[in-house]
This record gives sequence, structure tokens and C-alpha cells, in this order.
Amino acid sequence: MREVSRRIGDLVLIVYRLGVRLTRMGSRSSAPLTTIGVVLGAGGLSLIPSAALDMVIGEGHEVALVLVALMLMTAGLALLMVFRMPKRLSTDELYKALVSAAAAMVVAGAIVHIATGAIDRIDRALVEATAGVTTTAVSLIERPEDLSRGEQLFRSLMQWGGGGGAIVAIVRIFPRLGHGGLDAEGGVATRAASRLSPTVGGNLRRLGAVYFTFTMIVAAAFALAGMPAIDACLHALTTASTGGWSTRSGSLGAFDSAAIEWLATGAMFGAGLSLPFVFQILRTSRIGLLSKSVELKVYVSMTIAAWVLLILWSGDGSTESVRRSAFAVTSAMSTTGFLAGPTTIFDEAGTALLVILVVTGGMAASMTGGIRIARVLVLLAVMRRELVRQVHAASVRSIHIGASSIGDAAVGRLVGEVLLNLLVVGAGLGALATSGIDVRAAVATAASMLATAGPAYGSSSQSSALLALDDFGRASAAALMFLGHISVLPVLAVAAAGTKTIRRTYHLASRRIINPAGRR
Amino acid sequence: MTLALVKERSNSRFRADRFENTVVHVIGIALVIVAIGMFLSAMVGWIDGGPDRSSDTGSLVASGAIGVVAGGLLWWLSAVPVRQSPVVAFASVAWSWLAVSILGALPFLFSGAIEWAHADNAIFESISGFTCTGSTILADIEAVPRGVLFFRSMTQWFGGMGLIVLAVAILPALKVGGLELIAAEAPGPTTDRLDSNVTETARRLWILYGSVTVVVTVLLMLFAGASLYDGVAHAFATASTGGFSPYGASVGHFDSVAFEVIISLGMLYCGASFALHWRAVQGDWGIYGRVSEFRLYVAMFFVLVGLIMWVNVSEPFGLATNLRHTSFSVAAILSSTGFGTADFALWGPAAQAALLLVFMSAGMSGSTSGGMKVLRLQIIAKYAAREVVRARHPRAIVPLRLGSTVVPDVVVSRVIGFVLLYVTFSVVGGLLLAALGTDGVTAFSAAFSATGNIGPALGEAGPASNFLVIPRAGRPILMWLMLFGRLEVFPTLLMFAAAARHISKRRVAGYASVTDRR
Repeated sequence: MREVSRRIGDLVLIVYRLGVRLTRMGSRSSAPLTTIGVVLGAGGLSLIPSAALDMVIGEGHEVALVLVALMLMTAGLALLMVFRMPKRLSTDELYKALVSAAAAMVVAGAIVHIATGAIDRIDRALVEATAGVTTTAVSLIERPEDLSRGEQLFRSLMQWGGGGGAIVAIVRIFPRLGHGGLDAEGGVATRAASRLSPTVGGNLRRLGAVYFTFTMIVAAAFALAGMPAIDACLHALTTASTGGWSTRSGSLGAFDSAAIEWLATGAMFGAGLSLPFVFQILRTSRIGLLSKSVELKVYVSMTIAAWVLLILWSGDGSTESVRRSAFAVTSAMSTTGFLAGPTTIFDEAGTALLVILVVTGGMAASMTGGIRIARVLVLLAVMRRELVRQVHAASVRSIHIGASSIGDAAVGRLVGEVLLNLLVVGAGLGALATSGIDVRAAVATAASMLATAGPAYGSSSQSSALLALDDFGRASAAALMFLGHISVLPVLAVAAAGTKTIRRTYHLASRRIINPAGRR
Repeated sequence: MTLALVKERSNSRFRADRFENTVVHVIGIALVIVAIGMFLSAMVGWIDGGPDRSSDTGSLVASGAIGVVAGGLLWWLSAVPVRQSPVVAFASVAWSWLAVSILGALPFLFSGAIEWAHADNAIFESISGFTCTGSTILADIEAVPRGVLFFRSMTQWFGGMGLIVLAVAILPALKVGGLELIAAEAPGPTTDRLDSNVTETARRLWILYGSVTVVVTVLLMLFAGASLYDGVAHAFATASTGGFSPYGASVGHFDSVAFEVIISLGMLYCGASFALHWRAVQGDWGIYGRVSEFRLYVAMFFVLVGLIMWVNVSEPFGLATNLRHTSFSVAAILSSTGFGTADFALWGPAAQAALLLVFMSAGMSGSTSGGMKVLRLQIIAKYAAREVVRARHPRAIVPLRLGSTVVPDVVVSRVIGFVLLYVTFSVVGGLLLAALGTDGVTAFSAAFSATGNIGPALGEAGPASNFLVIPRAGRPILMWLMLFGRLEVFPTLLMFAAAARHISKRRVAGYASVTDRR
């Protein structure tokens, strides 16, 4: 197994190096445009298997898929011929590259949806693609089973690619924001994800290998549980990435199989684990590390406690209710968003609990959305520190999670991001409430979208959340998904930089108008 | 004469025959003050008349007597130590509020307005009064005797500026450590001192507070035709931003534009900082324009009125009615008063969502309003914006400014802790209410309304309803949230810490004496 994993890691490294080489072809230095070039090229390449699948099965969308693939690859290559990655990336450029890469993925995804006729309006296609890239389990397509297999594969790959993008963020972005993930020594280390290897490539190789291997295991497990092979692969892609799109309108519940639901429960729980942590355990084979991790213990405890509460509050004591409760808890906590049935079966308390779990999310540096447990622990520690400071005003207390101490700068960024998320949820709630849904649904939808979970708990299907909204509401939902997947801080930092550039340009232009000769 | 006696009693606090305990001493003083309020209400009940005159007066006199005896004993037997820790200050404030809430429940029970089998409901009503929340469990308010209803409004008036602030203002014994007590009770992240002397600060606050109450009463009587009883009762609830009305339809009972305008202006005035008002009264009217929190508070009012009027355009009432109901409801929620003229729980989802967000912010720090306060919202918004700058320039040192003032890191840190605790406990409260069978919107809006001391919530607990819709087991959660919000989070969390410390000290001392004997 370890040998297979290593081979996969080497493959990831080869692809990474190829990508790096491609980013050095051009002459003009621009991180965002180079990244867009890479994304468009990769997007085009990912359409080839989809086209091939349609060609083999004969469902008729292969021509459109090939044409779009060629178009995207050409555009990507053209950008890479002109632009190159700067040798040193400033923080601003890094954020710009991240945001533009995600935006380019969204645009590419929208083009594919329009080209294949899956969606007929560009604004709706953009919303659908945003849900895909941000690994959010909502859709405007009511019957995904009517799509061709190639389209289904493309949609799953889009979510899987979105998850892959999250790995890049875990390695390159999150450590800067103070939530890099969990180390194997029982505590949170804000730069843990960048400690696995001395190089960025090494880190990506290691985490990519874990991601790829996990996807393959889930696919094999689904197939063994009786799911058709293609469906197994497609669902594995969206499970590992915590995307949650399904090939059926009834999501995983449509298979009506207890084995599949239990397997999915386990897989979603696994997707909520910290990738660097999993890698450390696999590499060192020290199972004892599991008991040392504070975050893991909290993750497991929360899952079990929520499961029990959901059974008590909303269950009827049957085995089906026990299974559905476990499924709903892991689906919410991992922000995957798969459904085993309509979430209307849960009562008010159960629904509220699921929304809270969605907001909490899984472990830091995992594929999940939400605040994430490590950050929740830090927030609890901040609250405790303030309580103590009320009594001992002059006391100096550092924030500790397990054995790790979190620096004040990291705590500040983390708290700042959580506060920003609160403000964004407030704004999102206001925007969604004007879009034709009641306050309860607006709260559930805003929280679920920002956490990139998807279904608004209390709704009946993955498509009902978006279909209930008007165009403005869908645009707001898409903005929330985007902010939730990339993190609010980088997006706002890019917006702040953009505003500054506009202000500077305006200032220069006004100076030229006032003093056209440029005399002092 | 009474004041002289009180002063004499207070100045002899170091007598050797009394045990030193601030918590017990402060509880005693608070009980006596509330008991005096009960006697005054009994007089009102007697003068105002009505079919229940004797039972009304009797219940208030009996409750007042219990208060005077219990409070007097506690006050007489205890003394305030020269030095006291912040924990003791927090505990004193929290326990005294709990004690007066229990005493305040007695008139409802003695008068038969609430049955003894539902004594918890009486405590709910009392806590809702003292914390200036304004949530009620009384299904038929008009059936309650007039004197008890007057006392109900008076509980809010006591709670508005704070019993402890009143005690510090009139009792020299609390001069030492009085600032800690005021800080533990005062709304807002910092304590504004109007004078270097703590007693003088408290006195000025109460003078201004009393003056506002008188002005509102006079205006209501002169321009809205209110009776003295209605004027005073509504002025109590307006100045304290409490929101109790002696009528089931609240302010809507009068159906008078003049009444609503006076109350709206009163609510907005009392939702602003009393420290600012004091300076303005001293002649510095420009202070309002210079304080960014006040500017934001006023801007929030106008923006919310505009926004809600816009989303309410589709509702079946005209522009004038829309303006009237919207501006009154926004003033009532923004100042955390909770008076009602229209059932906003029936408005569109967008209007309700906007009001739900206002539940959390409420008025200015240093005002009588509840909620997180505009100042704290400003600080967290600036903090979040600073983190955006820091994300781009990780090594930058960016001070957090409000206007030209740099906010110290200690205050920022305290505000963040407060906001996190506030939101966490409100959400947990909402979840518990939902677990008890309340629908989601009602559960969470009731939790946020209780923590913000707003009064009405959304869903089934709207302004036209009462809190009997919340299951009986859920009401203690709301009671705790009301105290938690009114005392600004920390005292209610630290109220047991002083007792635990005391016990722990005694155990250590006991262990040491046993060891010595050996």
C-alpha cells in the first residue's frame, strides 16, 4: 500500500513539475495570469476523459466536450506562452493568484455547462460551476441522471479539482492565515502543513498522494458495496473532495442501500480528518498518535455526541433512523452535503444541530469547509482567557491547544477571519431573505453556503435550496460559496488591493487632467 | 432624615461586630431599595383605585415588608471590606440582581396575578423587568392590579440605570470599590467617568436619568393626552429601554401618533450614551457629532428605517403607515426597548432578517439599552478590517482607531471575548429551546432577544404574543440569558467564582489549622 501511495506521490510530483515548467515559458511576469493559464489548460485536459467516456458509451456530448477542451487548452497555453510566474511571490500576488485561479475554474465550468446544454443561461451556469469548484452540494440541475456520463464525470472532476485546489490552499495559504492544520504531536501547529517537507513540491506530493489514495479506496469500497462501477468512481471523487454532488437526484439515498450509506458515512468522516495528520500517521505507522491529538478527540466526540442527540431528538429507534442520523451528522460535519433522504425528517432541534455542525466543520487542514474544529478550540481558549483576565487583569496567558502554543498574531488572524465570516453570514442572510425564502431557510442557506456544505437543512433535496431563490439570491449564494471555499481574508485582501489600484489610477489620472504637461 | 440615617448607617461599616462580605452587603442594599419601590407602588395602587385596590396594595406592602426585613438584616449584619477583588464585584452585582428578581416576583404571586404553582413565571416576569427585557408571560395584562403593573414598570426603571449605580450614588460606604461595582454593572466595554469622584459620577447619571423620565412623562401628558399613571409607567419603560406597558397592545393601545413620536424620541435618546448626554447638557452640544459611535447609531436608525420601508412596500399598508410602524419598530428594537405598535413577526422575511440582525447590536455603550452595543460592533468591524490589512502586510503594526482615538489592545481583546461568549451562549440557548420543541425561528430569535434584552422575538413569540409559547422548561434558559445579557456576560459567568474561592480559602485555612494542631 505504501509503495502504491509513493508511486501516486511521484505521479503528483511529475504533474506538479510539469506545471511549474509550463509556468516558466513566458516572458512577462504575472502570477494571476499564469495561474489562470494553468487552470484553463488543466480544465481542458480534464475534459478529455469525459469526452472519451461519452464516446465509448455513445451518449453524444463528446464533440462539444472536445471542442471546449481544445478551446480551454489553447487559451491556457496562450497565456502560458506570454506570462510566467514571478521568481518570488509577494503575499498580494499569492492571494491574487488563488482568487483568479478559482474564478477561472468557475468560468471554465460554466462554459462547459453551456456548451453541453446542461444549463441554458450563463448566470445560472456560473452559479452551478461555483457550486462545483467550491465543493458545495447544491445544484440547479434537478435530474442529474439525465446528464450524459461524460458530463457527470466532468462535474465530479470539477469538485475533485476544487478539493485539489484546497490542498494548494492548505500548503500555501492557510499557514499564512494562522490555521495550517494539526501536527502529529497532539496539538495544533499553525504552520503544520508546511512542515511535512522542506519544499512546497514535497508537501503537495505528500498531501496529493493521500488525497488520491483515499479517493481510490472509497471508489473500490463503493463498488464492493454494490454501486455500479462508474457511479462508484464518480461518487468517490465527490466524497473525497467533500463536494457532495451525486449522479442521482435523490443523492446517495437513491441507491437505497444500507451498506452504501454506512460506507459513505465512514468515508465522509475520513474526509473530515486533517490531511497532514493522516499523512504523519501513515508514514510513521504510529497509531498511538491518534490518542494524542486534541482536535481528533474533539472531532470524534462531537460526531458521537451529535449522532446520539440526533437519534434522541429526531429518531424513532429503528435501525434506519440510527443509520440516517449517523449519515446526516458526518455529511454535515464534513460539509459534504450528501443526502440519504429528505432532511425534513429531522425536527427543529435536529435541523438546528445540523446547521451548527455545518458551521463547525471538520478538522483543520482537511477538505471540509466551516470554521473547523481547531479554530473552534482556539476561540474557546480565547473566551476562557478573557474570563480569566476579568479576574486577573494583568495576567499574561498564551493560547494552548494540546501541546502547541498558538502565537498572538495567528490568534488575531484566526479571530479576525471568524469575525469576518460572521459579518458575511449577516450580509448573506439579509440578501437571501430578500430572495423569496423565509428567515429560517435564509439562515440555514447562508450558513450552509458559506461552509460549502450545500443543502439548506430542512429542505428536501440538493437542488431545492438554489431553486427556491431568485436570481439575486442565487448570485448571493454563489458569492457565499466562493468566499467560504477560498476563505474570506484572501478575497477581501485582493479586493482591498484592487480598490487601492483603482484609487491610485484615479489619482494619477486626475493629476494628469489638472496638470496635463506634468509640470511641478 | 432618611438619607441622614442611611449615611450614618453606612459610615459605621467598620464596626467589629459585623462580618465583612460585599456580596451580602450589596444584596441587602438592593433588596431595601426595591422594597421602597414596592411601597411607592402600593401608594399608587391605593390612589389609582380599582376593584382590586386592597389586594393590590396588600400584596405590594407585604412584599415590601419582606424586602425591608430581609434586606435590612443582610445590610445590618454585613460590612464592605476596604479592598475587594473584581470577582467579588462581579459576584455582588450578579447575586444582587438575582435576589431582587426573586423579591420582585412576590407582588405577582401575592396579588394572584400569577398562581403560586407557576412561581417560575413570576420570577420570569420579574427578571424580564429588572433586566429591561420586556418579555412577558402575562396573557391578560389589563387583568393585573394597577399597583402591581406600576411596580412592574418600576422594576425596569430600577434596572435601567442599575441598582448598584443607585446604591453607589447614595451610599458613601460603597465609595471604596464603587468603581468596580459600577464597571461590573455598567453597559459597554469601558466605564465612562463623569467625575473623578465615583459617587458623583453615579449621582450625575441618576440625576440625568430621572430628568429624562420626568421630561418624557410631562411630554406624554401635555402632547399625547396621557394620564399621570400612563405617562409615568411608559416613561419608566422608555427611559430604561425596558418596554413594559400596562396594556396588552403596548403603545399600540393609544393609537396616537404624538404618543409614538415622543416614545420613539425617548427610546432613541436613552439608547444613546448618558455620558454624552451629560456633556451635552453641560453645554458641549458638539460632542454628538464628534463621537463616531453616535454617528453610526443614528445612521443605523435611518438606514434600517429606509431598508425596512423599502422591503415592506409590498405589505398592505400605505406609505404613511409604513413610515409610522417601521420607524417606531426600528427605534424600539435598536434601543432594545421592545415596545410594539405593529406585529413585525408578520412582516416579510427580509424585514424580519434585518430586525434579527439589530437584535444583536442594539444601542450605544453607556446607555440603558441591551445588546452587544454599537461600539463593540465598530470595534469588531475595525478589527476584522485590520486583519485584512495584516493579511496583505503580515509585519505591519496597525493600531485600531475609532475616530482619532486609538483603542487599547486590552479593550479590543475584552470586546472580542465578549462578542464570542455572547454569540456562543445565545446560539446554545437557541439550540436548547429548539430541543424542547420550539420552532427554529422562535427559539433562536427568543434566545437572541433575551440576551439582547429586546423583549419580543420573531415567530410565535412576536410583539402580539407572549412567552407562554416557550415551553416551561425553556423559560429558565431565557431568564439566565436575560441576566447574562443585561450584566454584560462576565458577572453571570463569574458569580460562582467568588463563592468557590471563599470555600476553597476556608478549606485551606481549615486544613492548615488541623496540621498546626498536629
